[in-house]
Amino acid sequence: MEKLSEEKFDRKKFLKVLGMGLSLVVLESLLKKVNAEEILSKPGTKKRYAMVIDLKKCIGCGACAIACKQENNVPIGYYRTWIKNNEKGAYPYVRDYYLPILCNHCEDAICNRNCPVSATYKTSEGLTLIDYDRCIGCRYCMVSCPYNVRFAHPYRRTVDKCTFCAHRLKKGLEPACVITCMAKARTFGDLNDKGSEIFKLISTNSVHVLKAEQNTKPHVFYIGLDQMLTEAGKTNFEYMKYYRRNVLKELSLSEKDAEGYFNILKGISNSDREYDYRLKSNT
Amino acid sequence: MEGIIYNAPHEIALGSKIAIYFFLTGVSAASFIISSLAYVFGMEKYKACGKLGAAVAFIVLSIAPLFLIVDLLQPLRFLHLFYMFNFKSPVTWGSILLTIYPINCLVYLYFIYTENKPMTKLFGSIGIPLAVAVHGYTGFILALAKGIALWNTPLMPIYFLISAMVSGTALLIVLSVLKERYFRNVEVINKIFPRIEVDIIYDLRKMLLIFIAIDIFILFSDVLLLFYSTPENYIVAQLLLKGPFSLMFLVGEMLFGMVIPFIIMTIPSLNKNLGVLTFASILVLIGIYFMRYVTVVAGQYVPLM
Repeated sequence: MEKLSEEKFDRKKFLKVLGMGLSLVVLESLLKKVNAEEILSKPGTKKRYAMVIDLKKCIGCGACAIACKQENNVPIGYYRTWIKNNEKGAYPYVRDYYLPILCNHCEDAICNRNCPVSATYKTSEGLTLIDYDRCIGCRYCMVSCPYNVRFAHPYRRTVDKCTFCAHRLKKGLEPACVITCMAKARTFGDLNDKGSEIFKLISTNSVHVLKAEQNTKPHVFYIGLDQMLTEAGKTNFEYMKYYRRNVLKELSLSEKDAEGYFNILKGISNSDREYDYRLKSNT
Repeated sequence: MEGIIYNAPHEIALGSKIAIYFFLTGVSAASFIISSLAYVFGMEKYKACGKLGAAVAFIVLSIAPLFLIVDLLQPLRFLHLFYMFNFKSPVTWGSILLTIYPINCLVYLYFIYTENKPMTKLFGSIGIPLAVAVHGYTGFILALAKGIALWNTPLMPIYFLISAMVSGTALLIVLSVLKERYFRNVEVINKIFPRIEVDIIYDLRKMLLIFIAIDIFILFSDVLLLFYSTPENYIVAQLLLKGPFSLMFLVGEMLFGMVIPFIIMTIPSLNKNLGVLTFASILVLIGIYFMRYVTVVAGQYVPLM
């Protein structure tokens, strides 16, 4: 004790400590602003959301794609989740294979890294979300994503993609595609919860992720993924169309007709307003 | 076994405006570097075209970012780039560089015209790394989009830089010849830009030849290795050489942009003719534009999923 009191606590040292402390406080407040989206998780619990899709169960009905469009008001011609379909073999040994695709909510998301205004952000639950009030629409994330899951929303005029139905998760519900799947091929859950269904499925089945070589650590796992499906369609250049394509023209619809037929053409759903966790938590 | 039966169509996100932007930054960076030959490295005889180069560098780079802003889905939100940063993103690097570089160009121009030698040298030396960065970062924009096989190669920034040198030199040749041919006796222009001797244009031709040769070598190694790495790369190589981009790539980029100008400019009886040189340089410029367009659009043409 005596030795300590003898040690001079001079002004230089004091200022040094004070400066360090102040900068830490400033740094922390800065960091806090960025991580404000933690509103999703209850305090004290840390979740890591993920999805398992059992391709042996999937019958390719497309209900998940439709449920997603209804839930999230996705415009005509755009998809947050869709199904890739390919057949293999020859009669009598032939089978259809289906591959539902959605945002993989990668742990090391390259879209998150490349977004110039941090509009794409990772929540503490492992979701990759977009702050629609920040997004400037440079579409760099669209070309960065190795899974092509992002699209330019024609009416909101930002980039959009699957959110794992974050507005439903907040209320304790599962994503729309999961509850609608009649074959129960999709399972959603928390990877950190050792008792959850998804933990059981991943532990007791051989699972694959799409494009593991991209090193993005996806959070969508597939059971029974066939190599053929991941390769198919890459040489068919028809699926990539020139940018800002006119979907209505492709469907030969006038805008007025389309507005009459589909309420999903224009406007932004209620759920969209609930996405902006970051902004809501700041106010 | 049939091909894919059902899949969602995707958009090509980055289009011709981005290609034009890449083209313009390339021209600007290269003009700056050529102008620095006179004012930083002390090669006095290039002073005349050094002034022209510095002016081109500034003017072109003032126009270039407009293409980026118009290309945004919400153009007014470009302001977000200046107070919401993500320093990992090459686009943020770009928004910083595109602010600093034109200012540096302007200061450099000012000191050139006030004939302040040490300051010109200082801002010229600051400008060289900035010029390399302002175009090199566009190479990183493409290279860091790691899902796209054509872009995700370490060669991309180098390829972009060398094709920038090609296009910048070609533009300077065209402008010099135009000036000497049509504005030779216009007082105002002669006051701003001194006379450019024919020897200097011949020197620019030599530089252009060297740059085209390096460009051909880099393109060759890029395409060769596209064939022998991942399946995605193989598909891209097919797309370039046989697919919908083959005309633009083989004729536009390679034949017009590299082979014909290279041959024209090496034939001894033709390469002293200024008209032929201009023609070859214009071909080079068209070829480099095709190169930007093919790189940007063909890369996105392969469906990833």
